[in-house]
Amino acid sequence: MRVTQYIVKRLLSTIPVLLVVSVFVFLLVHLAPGDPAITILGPDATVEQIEQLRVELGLDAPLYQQYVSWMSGVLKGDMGESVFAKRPVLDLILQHLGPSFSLAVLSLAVAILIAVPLGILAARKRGSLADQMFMSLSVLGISVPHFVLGLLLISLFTVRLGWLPIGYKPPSSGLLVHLQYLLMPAITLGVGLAALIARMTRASMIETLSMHFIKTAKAKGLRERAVVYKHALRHAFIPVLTVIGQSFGLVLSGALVAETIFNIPGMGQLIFNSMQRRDFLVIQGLILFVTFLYVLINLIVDLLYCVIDPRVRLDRK
Amino acid sequence: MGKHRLNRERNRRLLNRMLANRSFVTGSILTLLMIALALFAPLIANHDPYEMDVVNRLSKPDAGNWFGTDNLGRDVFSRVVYAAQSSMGVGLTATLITGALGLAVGLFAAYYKFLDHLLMRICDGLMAMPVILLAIFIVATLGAEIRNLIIALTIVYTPTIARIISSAAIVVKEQTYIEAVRSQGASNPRIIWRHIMPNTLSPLIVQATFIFADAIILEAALSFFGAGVPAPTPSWGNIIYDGKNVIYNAWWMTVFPGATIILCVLGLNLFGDGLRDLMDPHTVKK
Repeated sequence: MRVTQYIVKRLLSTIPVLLVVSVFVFLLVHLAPGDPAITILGPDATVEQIEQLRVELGLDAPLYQQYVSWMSGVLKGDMGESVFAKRPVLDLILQHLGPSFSLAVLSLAVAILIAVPLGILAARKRGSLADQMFMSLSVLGISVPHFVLGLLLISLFTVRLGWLPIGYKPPSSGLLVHLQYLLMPAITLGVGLAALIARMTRASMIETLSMHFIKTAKAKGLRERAVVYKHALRHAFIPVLTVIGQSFGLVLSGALVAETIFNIPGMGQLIFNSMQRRDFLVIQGLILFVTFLYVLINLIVDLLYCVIDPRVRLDRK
Repeated sequence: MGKHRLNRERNRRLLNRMLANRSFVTGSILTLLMIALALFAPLIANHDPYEMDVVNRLSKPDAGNWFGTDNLGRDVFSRVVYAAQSSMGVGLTATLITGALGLAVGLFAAYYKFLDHLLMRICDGLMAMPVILLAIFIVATLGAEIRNLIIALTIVYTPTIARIISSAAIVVKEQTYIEAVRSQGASNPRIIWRHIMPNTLSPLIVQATFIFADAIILEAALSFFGAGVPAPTPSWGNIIYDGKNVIYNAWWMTVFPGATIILCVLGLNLFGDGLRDLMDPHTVKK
């Protein structure tokens, strides 16, 4: 019962956030220089044609009216229609969601698989040479920009060696093929994430391993491996989970870059193309959608805390 | 006399701690190197970064052109050196404005309860959007100029600083000495400025360093999408942008500016890490 209450309360508190974002996005799009109607019709359009399109798109109404009609549509699940694709915005977004989602999940998987074991290892061998190398590598990992890494990977693995292709094939073409196309972009995004997650894992493990209950476990004669993996990890994982949750935001950001470099038809490419074409309903809808996803993921992460740590009470403060 | 001795002793201990912190030292060296690159660019570069030599376009690195030439025959080494000015200049300006703005917003939000909710909601909203999306969006809307680039970076990063300052300020506000000063009749602005603000400065400086590093990456990423420093002014990002289409034959247009970005950001991150360790009274290095 308390859990449901908490979920409802959290979802309600996302409304002001989404409201702020919607106003901001709407204003920015509509106060921008350049008329969408002119961009759509091209430079040869007559004044009458432009006026007609403006009326069709509802651009002649006062700004607040346009906002209200857009938002009331959104609340009913109708984000309007893309001027270029002539399809509902929501359809477009959902179509492009798949590749971005695959990329995000794969990147996060790569990052966690690298980062958590390395972080634990570094914590156990604290102060040693391996640990110092780990720290240096992890700072390096955060410092490399995604697009630089992506371009370097392409120039090595695609151009020079010809091992990996660029582009995208959906899972229906076969899981292995699907993964082959996503491997380089996933590594590109995963490296930076891995560095962040690894550092947090190490710091958290170090702190956990110095706690009393670990000493007790060791005194009871448990083998080190059981102590570390069964007892310490569960406790140490909480702050790591926070970082993983925040990583989703980073993955969404990075996806924009990765999708452009590796030519993946995901949401990043969609928004980039829409910005160039001034397909304003898509831009507004997409940014709102992405923000909503982000907020939802944070909520899920917070709920996961309860699973991992039963001491956490949902009604904090 | 005793006071001077104590001060010197304290300063020497601080210096020793600073020198013992490897992150801080390495970071400082790298950062100073980059700053020197920007300041002494005319002395370090051996060609004019704008001079085109179309006959020699896209030529490999050699004795004459250490980093090769780009698609218009311009010397990449000189462009990378001069790019330090624009990339770091944009980053630094954005960081300074962000710091000042974030400090003001954070302090006011912490001190005046009614402002807190409004400002923090706006910050949450802005922070909920993926950073690069927000930045590209702002620049695409306002137009690709350096001024708009700085505006975009400021809008993106100010909420983060505001939140950090606000959290720190709230903690300070509850301390007894603030109550004491207030009961002595100090006005609100004076309390905020003289008593609360100084204690929020250390997290501000540390975070500002990381934001500087982030801003450099973001400027480069924006340039990569054609939304950064406009041509022909070189920035590390737009050299990579120019080299994007010729990466198959001209790897030097990606590798050299890329490596420079990595070194600069690495330096700033290490410096910030070291600074944070030094300022935090709780960290004890073994």
